[in-house]
Amino acid sequence: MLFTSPVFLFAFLPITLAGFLIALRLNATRLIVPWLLAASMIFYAWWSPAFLALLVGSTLVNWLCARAMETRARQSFERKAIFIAGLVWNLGLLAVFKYADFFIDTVDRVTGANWALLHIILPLGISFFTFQKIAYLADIHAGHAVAGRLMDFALFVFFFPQLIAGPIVHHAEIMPQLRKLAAGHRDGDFAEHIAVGLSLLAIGLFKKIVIADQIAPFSTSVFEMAAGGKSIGLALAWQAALAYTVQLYFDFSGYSDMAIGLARMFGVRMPANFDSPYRATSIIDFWRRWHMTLSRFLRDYLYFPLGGNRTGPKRRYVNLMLVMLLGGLWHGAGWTYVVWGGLHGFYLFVAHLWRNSVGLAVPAIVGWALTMLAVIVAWVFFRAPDMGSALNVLAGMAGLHGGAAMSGEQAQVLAKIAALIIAAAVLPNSQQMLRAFQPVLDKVAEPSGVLARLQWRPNAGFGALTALVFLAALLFSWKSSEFLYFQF
Amino acid sequence: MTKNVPRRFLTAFAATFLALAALLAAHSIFVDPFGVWGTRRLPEKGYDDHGRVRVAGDRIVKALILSQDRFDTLLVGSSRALIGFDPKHPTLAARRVNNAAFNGATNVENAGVIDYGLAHQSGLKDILVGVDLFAFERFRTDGDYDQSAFAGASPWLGYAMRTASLDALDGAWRFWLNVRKKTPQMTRDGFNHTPRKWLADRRKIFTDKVSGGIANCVDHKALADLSERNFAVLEKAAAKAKARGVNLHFYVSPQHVWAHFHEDLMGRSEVHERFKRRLRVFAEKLAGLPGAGQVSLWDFDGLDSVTMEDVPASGSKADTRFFWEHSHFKTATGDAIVAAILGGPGAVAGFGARLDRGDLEAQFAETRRRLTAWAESHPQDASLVRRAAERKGVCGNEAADGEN
Repeated sequence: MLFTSPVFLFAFLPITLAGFLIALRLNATRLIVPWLLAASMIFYAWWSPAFLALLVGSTLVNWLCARAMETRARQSFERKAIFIAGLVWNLGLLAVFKYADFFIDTVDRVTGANWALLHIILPLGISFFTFQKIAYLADIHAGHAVAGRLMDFALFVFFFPQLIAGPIVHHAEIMPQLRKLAAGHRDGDFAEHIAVGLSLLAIGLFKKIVIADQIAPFSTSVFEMAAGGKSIGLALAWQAALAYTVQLYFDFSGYSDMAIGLARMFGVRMPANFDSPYRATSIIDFWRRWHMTLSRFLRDYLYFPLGGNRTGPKRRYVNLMLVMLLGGLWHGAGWTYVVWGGLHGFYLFVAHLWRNSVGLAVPAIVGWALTMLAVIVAWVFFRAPDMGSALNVLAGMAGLHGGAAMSGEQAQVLAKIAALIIAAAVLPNSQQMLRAFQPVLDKVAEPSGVLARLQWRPNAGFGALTALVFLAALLFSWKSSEFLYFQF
Repeated sequence: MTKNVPRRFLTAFAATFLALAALLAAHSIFVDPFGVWGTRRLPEKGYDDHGRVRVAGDRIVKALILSQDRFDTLLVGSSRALIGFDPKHPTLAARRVNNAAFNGATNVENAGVIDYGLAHQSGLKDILVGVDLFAFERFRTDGDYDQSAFAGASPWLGYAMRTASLDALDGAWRFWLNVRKKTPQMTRDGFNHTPRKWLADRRKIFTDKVSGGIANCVDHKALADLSERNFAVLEKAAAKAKARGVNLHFYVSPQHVWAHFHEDLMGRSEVHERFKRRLRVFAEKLAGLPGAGQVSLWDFDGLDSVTMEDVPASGSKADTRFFWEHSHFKTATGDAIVAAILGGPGAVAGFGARLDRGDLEAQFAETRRRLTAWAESHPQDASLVRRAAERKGVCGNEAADGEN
């Protein structure tokens, strides 16, 4: 079930929320966890009931591993063996469902073996919930957490706002909130929670449907042309790269806003996932603002265990590159994602080297422009269906295919895209607009300048405005993909 | 903050949302731009009689229409069928005809329409199915098909999407403009109108259309695989119709000689011929399946007086009789197709041949000969099409125009 679908917005969400509020009103709080768990399972099963069984089984295995580890001594071999078995289980599932065909295809290409692809369907959200379970097992293995009740752990995994595409939440920040709810603790007024959540949901819907989905064709059409072998000219290549830059940010940050808002309607605060990344003035700054929960996971459960920056500068850069390459591969089973991760690893290497060796501060605007250029170039690999298409578009961006002239219509498109990038960089983000009501677990930076006045309030005026934003998004969400062919 | 402030937010949210949604729905029902409610209160005017065109949202709406009204004849196919047939043709006017063709219809969709038609129309007698090669070169659905009842979606979702959506707002707005002769609207039999302003410089339209699109490179093996999967789907739906006693008339849509020449330059003449041979095998197999329904297979895609119609000179006030542009035919051609398949006036001598009978290879050879002769006798037109093809590039001798 998608957050943008009518069945979610007009059936699933109202029913789930109503059941939750009734349980609260009747002080039947012990029903809250089972109710939300059942609803979340329906949410997942709506896409594929068969994969619900897989997720349930995997959750059970992880919880049993956690319990088994708890009963063993901290430094015991058995505890470590169970932890490794749990890791193998989780990574094995990911390897089979996500990377098997990638592996086979790569072997075929390199050796000419001609193994048949398995065409395995990827279970929705597997990349996200696998990481959450690994973090859970790692923390219990290290003695930093307790396994808790199966029902609580299952709800942590299944909780529908974050199940499909994150934020990648940590058990230590979500399970205590769920336990408090189940114990009848009310953290604040639920009318306020719903008002804040609804506002974030409306903002997210607007970002995803009205901005990202409308911009998408300007990028998709060009990448399809590139995949078809057509040389992409300068103007078209930049149009595609910039449009995708806008589309991806508004799509993913919109989705995150929706997830954070939906969780908040149930009184649960999530970690922030985006903090105006296109405002970043260095690549290091960018990775503190982009997909923050993934960066956090990679840092805590990959970079630090590899030694982080405690093992000397050379090893540190190797660790950094390794983390970014794996981060790229996590996004998708394809070499373009690996190249994307490698490029960012290289950017980070250069940025750290510059900071540690040269130390010369660059003006913010120069830093911003360089960062955006680097990010946009890397997005081309992220978006392209294959390396050939990516290189085709990049060659176009470098002017190697000509095509600098653009029509008035194309100039308008580019102006709109540029305006959206500037808006993403300058305007306060959703968390900043709602910061008086603690929309996320993290501390939200105060916006500066006159734009700081753009503050959301839970009053009647903002209620009407939120309804307008919500309705506008809904109107667009039902708009069929135009296929106007016969236009003279 | 006082406790009742968030409650005021929620009250204002609910009141504003419900009021605006109700207003929008009332407006959509009053104007009924897609004809799904039967509550239209505005007159339709400002259309030209001899052309048809689609509006957005056709798949959802056509499923609703097919479930509401009764028909005995169904037109299935792409935009060629959508805009090429005239409900006023005497043969069609004597029947209850529904035009269930879509823009860019894929074969999967066409098979779905046949299935849906059989499930909702007990009095069906004839189904005319336009089989276009491009529809067999993809195996997917398009547009709003997946949200339509054709794909199993709730009709109520369809009603909602055509009542409280941007399409509904846009459609209603167009309808208001339409009172001042601006834009077309869908009618309840699935046919549409073409506004007068689209009847512009014909050569320019031909040139623009043939120059549009890009080379679509699909390798030979992939094409063959797609084609076979498509034939399997179509056969399943058609077999049901035949078993029900419904007559099936398959026809390859006519394309103008410019399209023929363009496809030939792209190395695709053989692809078309292979497709027609496969169609014949398909029709022969279908004819042998149980059921009282008759099966016929027509080819209007040869080169003859209709498809070799001259394109008027630039700036000329003269217009074509048979084609809007190289890919889409006008209702005079539609009339000739109807006359050939179902009978009635409008037939054009030499236009169309039975593909399930006769010597296919001789037909192909004759078409190739006529194409060569045309290119020699129309050097300016041939050069123009050649330039358009060169701009698109050829991919491994298997390029497709990607048009529909």
